[in-house]
Amino acid sequence: MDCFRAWFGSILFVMVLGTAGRTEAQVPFRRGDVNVDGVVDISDGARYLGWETPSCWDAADANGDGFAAVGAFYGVVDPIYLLSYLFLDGESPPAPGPDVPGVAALDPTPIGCSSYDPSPPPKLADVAFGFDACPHAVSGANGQVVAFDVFVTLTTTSNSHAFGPEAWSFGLVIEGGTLKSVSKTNSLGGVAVSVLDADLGSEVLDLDKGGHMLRLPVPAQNPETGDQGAVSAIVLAGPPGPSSYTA
Amino acid sequence: MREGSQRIARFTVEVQRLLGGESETVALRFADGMKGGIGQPVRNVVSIAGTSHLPALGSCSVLLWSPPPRPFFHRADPSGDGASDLTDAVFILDHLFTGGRAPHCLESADVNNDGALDISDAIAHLGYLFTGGVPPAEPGPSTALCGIDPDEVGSPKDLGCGTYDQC
Repeated sequence: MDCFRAWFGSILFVMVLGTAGRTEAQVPFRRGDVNVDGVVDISDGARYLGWETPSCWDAADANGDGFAAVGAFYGVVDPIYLLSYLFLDGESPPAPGPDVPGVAALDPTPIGCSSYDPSPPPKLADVAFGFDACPHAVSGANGQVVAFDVFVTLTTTSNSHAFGPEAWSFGLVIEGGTLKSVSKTNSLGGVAVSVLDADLGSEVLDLDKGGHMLRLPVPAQNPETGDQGAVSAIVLAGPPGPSSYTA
Repeated sequence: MREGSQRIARFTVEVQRLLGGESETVALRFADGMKGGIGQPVRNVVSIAGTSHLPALGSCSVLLWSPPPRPFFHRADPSGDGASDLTDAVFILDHLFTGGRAPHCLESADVNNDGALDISDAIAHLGYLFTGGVPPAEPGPSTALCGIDPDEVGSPKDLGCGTYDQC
């Protein structure tokens, strides 16, 4: 019984801490910048899934409902909201949103942001995107359509952290050719991927089922430069616990 | 993979060779700001422990080229005069043993098409001309239609045929 009280008490404490009722002084912040590095990207979506409490709860309240879903106890509403906005067709976080340039505004529905001082994140490892099996040359007669396969690689070195990458996103420009098809590899970190070949645009976002997010490379362009290519975004980690994966 | 490298996606890239172009290059490179049909412009970033790491970015460059057209020729006409006759056997021997010029179309001199230019080609040609021996290999001597070497370009038996003006 004492154990149960202690366990229940700790849960209650964390829930109260994570939900509402904070009366901390408000400071300007950028919603969605959970890891407080000044940029809202896939790392913020992954940051939700860790155990660290954010220094600015309002920044983690991606949908602005006055509740920040950080860690296993709070569900995955906010990370799904943020990842859907970044990579799918989700709505933008309400003001002060991630796309607001310059200094963020105050949160109209505050739940607590005692500190928001964006700074470059600590470097835990050297990472690189590259290519494997890039053919030196392919031949074809004039006018003939030729195709070749190439792999995108993720390389991690000098890693001082206990785990490897748990999420990444990349944009690829293809000059002189067009993207015909894509597929993910059959194993990404600890996640066994059952579907080897997928149609363009396939995507999975099942964080709420302890899964992961896969946005396979889809045709893309840079609206400013007109470059053609593809984008992809993958989050391996589900909610903290045995279901979490890293590459 | 705490450290190391792994493939995270496979792309099939399709290219149509331009008409008249000798060679072109297809380049693949990573760039921020690419946008799919939905979602925001994508940043090249890797997350470790919920913190952003900007990766070094590689590139891939692929040369597209067209193989040169293969000339039609007659076998056993290394002299290139349009006739497969005694002068061609002499031409081969002259080239092999007395420093005579090389044939413009090496395949034409490889009478038996064994992938080597040697004395057996002169003997085979003389045998064909005077003792009813086996005719020169495909595409055949000047009495046959012009043709191309049956061997694949770059295969061990392909000696190449620079020029041949009689077809």
